[in-house]
Amino acid sequence: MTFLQPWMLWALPLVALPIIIHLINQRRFQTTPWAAMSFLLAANRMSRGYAKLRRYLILAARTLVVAGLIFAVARPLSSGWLGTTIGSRVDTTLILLDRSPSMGQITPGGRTKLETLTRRLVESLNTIRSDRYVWIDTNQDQILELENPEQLIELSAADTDAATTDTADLLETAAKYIRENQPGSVDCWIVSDLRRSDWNVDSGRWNAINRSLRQISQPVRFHLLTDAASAPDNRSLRVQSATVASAANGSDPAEASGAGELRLSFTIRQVGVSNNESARRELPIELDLNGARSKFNVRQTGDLTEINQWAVPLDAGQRTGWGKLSIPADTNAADDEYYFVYGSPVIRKTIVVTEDAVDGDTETARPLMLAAGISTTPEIRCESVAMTPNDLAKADLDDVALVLWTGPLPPKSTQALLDPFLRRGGRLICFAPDSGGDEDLGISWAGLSWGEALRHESDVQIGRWIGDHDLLSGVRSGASLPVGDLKIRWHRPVLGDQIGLAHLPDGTPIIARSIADTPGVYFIGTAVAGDQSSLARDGVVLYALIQRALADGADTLGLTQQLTAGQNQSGTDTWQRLTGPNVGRSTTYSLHRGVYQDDDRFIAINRGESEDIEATVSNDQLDHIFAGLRYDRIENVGGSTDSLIQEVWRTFLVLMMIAFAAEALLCLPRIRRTSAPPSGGRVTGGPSRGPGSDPKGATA
Amino acid sequence: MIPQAQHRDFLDPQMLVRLSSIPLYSRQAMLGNVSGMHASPHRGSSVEFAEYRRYVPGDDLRRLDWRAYGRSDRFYVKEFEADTNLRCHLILDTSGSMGYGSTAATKLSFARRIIATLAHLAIQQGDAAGLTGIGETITETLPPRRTPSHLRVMFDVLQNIRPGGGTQLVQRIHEFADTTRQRALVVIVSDLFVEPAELRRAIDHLRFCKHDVAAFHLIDREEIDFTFSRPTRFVDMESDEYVFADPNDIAPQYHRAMTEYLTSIRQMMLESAVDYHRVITDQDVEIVLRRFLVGRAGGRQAVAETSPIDSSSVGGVG
Repeated sequence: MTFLQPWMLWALPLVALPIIIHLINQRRFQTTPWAAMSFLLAANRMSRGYAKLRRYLILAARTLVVAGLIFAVARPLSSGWLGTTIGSRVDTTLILLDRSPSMGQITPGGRTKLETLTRRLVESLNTIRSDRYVWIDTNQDQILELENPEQLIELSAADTDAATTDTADLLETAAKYIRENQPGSVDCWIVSDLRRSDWNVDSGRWNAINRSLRQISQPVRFHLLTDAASAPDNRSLRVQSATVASAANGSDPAEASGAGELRLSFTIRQVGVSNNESARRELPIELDLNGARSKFNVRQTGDLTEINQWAVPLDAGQRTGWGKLSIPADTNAADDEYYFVYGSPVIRKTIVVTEDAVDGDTETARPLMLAAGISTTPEIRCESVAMTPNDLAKADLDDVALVLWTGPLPPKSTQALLDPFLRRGGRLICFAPDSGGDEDLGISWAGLSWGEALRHESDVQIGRWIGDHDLLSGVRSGASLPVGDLKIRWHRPVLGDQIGLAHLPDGTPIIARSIADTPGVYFIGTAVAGDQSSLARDGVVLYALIQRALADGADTLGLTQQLTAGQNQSGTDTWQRLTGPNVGRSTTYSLHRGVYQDDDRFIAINRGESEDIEATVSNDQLDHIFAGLRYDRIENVGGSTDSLIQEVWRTFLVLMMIAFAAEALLCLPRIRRTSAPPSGGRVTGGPSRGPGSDPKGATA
Repeated sequence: MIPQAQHRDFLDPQMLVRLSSIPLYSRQAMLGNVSGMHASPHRGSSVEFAEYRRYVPGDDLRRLDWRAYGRSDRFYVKEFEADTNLRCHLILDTSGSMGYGSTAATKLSFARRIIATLAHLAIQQGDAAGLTGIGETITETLPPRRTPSHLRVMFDVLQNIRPGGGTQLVQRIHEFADTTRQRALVVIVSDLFVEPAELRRAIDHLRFCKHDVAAFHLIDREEIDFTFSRPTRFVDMESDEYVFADPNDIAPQYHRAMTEYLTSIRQMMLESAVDYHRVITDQDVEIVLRRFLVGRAGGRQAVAETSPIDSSSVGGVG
């Protein structure tokens, strides 16, 4: 039980007052000489049990009255598990909202998860009260001090973004805020649906964040307000590719004249429907192409429906444009539409940086060049070139999508050459160097570095990997990549702040992604040489991850850019919204889905692929994240927006009144027989026997 | 009028005057040694015709009824009731419990008034009155006498009696029955806080000895109503032991026990043919005595239930 006026509880000893008064009263009895003692003794014997009980009940009722009054004045909060977690008025309340698309799921109350949880939080904060309310939003890189909790709703904080929420980043920012502002006591409310995509529980950052939070000297309590319920009967639509092809022969339309056609590949993922018939019905798809709308039906083929190269005729000469595919609204509107831009496909260029030979004809470079140079579809051209680190300085990286680095990590100066490329959205994959000894151990790139090389006597297979998103995710059919079949004979562990995509059985990260400010940097802790790993020999995994990185890098090239929300947040001031929800400001366009135009470039912003995966963080993982911290989890069920915490002083007043009434009833004198049979002649009651004992003898 | 020397605070001359018009009768024949107004088992010379019986030699020829001889040609002797005097034994319970009174008047003071009045009435009509005080022992004994001076002695004794100690009422009544062989009207004035079964044996003992038994059962109003409200330490007036009790807790049980006791006593008195009068001590003593005297004068075996609360209820006791 928690109270808003806990100091009132100092008055609790007053509950002993009725008992003390009772004891004093017992000492203030009157003395009466009495003749009919035997009847008194008999009555005393007969009534001893009930009298005691009645006396105790009266005392209990009086004690309850006093206790109820004190508790009511102390303003108790709702009891139970939640009441125990809420303390007295805090200095600062930090609010961390997960505004990812998955939070747009409609709850039974008709509101989105985010809106429901936020309203509930606001109601609760209004009850608890705090001196300061601070909303931390790392997606928009802002820390706002609110005048009152309602401002959260006024500020549209209850609207979802298209960007995935980096919860670790939120907590890191919260820790930084506490250290810098030194508040007296802090309540940190985290509102989330616990999607793995938002929490990245495998990230090594959590240990550092946990340490950092534990080192805070101020008392900090973490309240995790969650609604991890899956969306029932939800479909998500995702466009895999939108390319322009010649209607005649499918060759590069840039080189052909006349009308072309748009080739759309998209998938529809169905969640939460077990009935096959409903999963196989016709589904209407709405296509908005440059503002012109049309509809067509597709037949669902189960949990995953994949449409490849759906052809849409284009006007003559139309080579670039934008569009949107959407399906009927369901329980989560955030994944019912997907924006795309199309244009002439760019050539997907890859640079393989190797020290051995500029032509790349080495055991290390050749498999990489092949994997990067062979396109997945005929409409897309892939090119790969090899060059030494020195030549990289002279290379034009403007149209390069991917850089594969095979040697030792370069010095900072060389790394700086690639910064613009990486910030533009280019991808960099570094393979563990097997040459040059260990002289580069001290060098890091994007927060990652290599550990000492280790050769295994026998092949080691990858123990676990993230197969639901990023480079090692499964294929569209749902089958996983054969990452587990890879055999590692030599490796260098990946060090630094990372998201481990694949680990050896002993937990050593072997494929990792940097979480530093520079996105798109991957480290693979082995090489492709035959005596080091089977990456090249069993080339499926190598080919898939390189092509995926290449596709991601190529999306940022050309006049059309297909971006994931939140990845590129710079330079959006000049963007113009062409279509999409009318939310946010120009500075935050990169967080909201839609199609934007920047000069002659078309940019489509959509949710990340991981948002379509419903996997949630387990309790064990949460316990690990908040280990050693004062943390409680509040599960929200249903769509109610009522306050999580309520003052229950009325209940105590009611209890007090009940105790009052009970005490009054118990104190009422017993109804005596007014007929007074003994004093009159009509003695009617009682069996005809004596008082039980010789009355005189009893008193003698 | 009452001689000045006999004036006592427990004697109301006005009441005596009013009650003197009602004689104190015995309900059964007495065996007095002087002529009186009470029936005797022997034939005597009173004016009340009793019976005819056949003449036997030796009978006084003066008592032959010649008229009967003339009608039947046989000798009959006409017999008349013998009137004799009454011996009234007044037994007073002097135990500590008789000192209880929720008002200024105690049970003992009420008993004094009853006994003094009855004694005065008895002696005034030529009967003998005696007094026996019973506590743990027989504290006072005044054998019945008819002289007015005896009345003064009796009043002195009554005035000096103080309640105290326990009582052995049952045993003392047995002793009384053993030592008092001559028929008498035995009037017991007590609160009768004894075991009814034992009391019955004592009463039966008296009845066996051909005594006419009457009982004034004195109860204080508070003892019946038990209207205490505050926690109280009740101190036994006979043993000084005490009990701490909250009247609110025990009142129902007390009433039940008291009701059972009173019912039992009354039943016992009915079965033992005792002229039983339950008296609440806030009643008017004149009304109580008037009902007693009238009931006896009517020759009925009746008990006048003399409660002013329910004065209409009269139950016979045989």
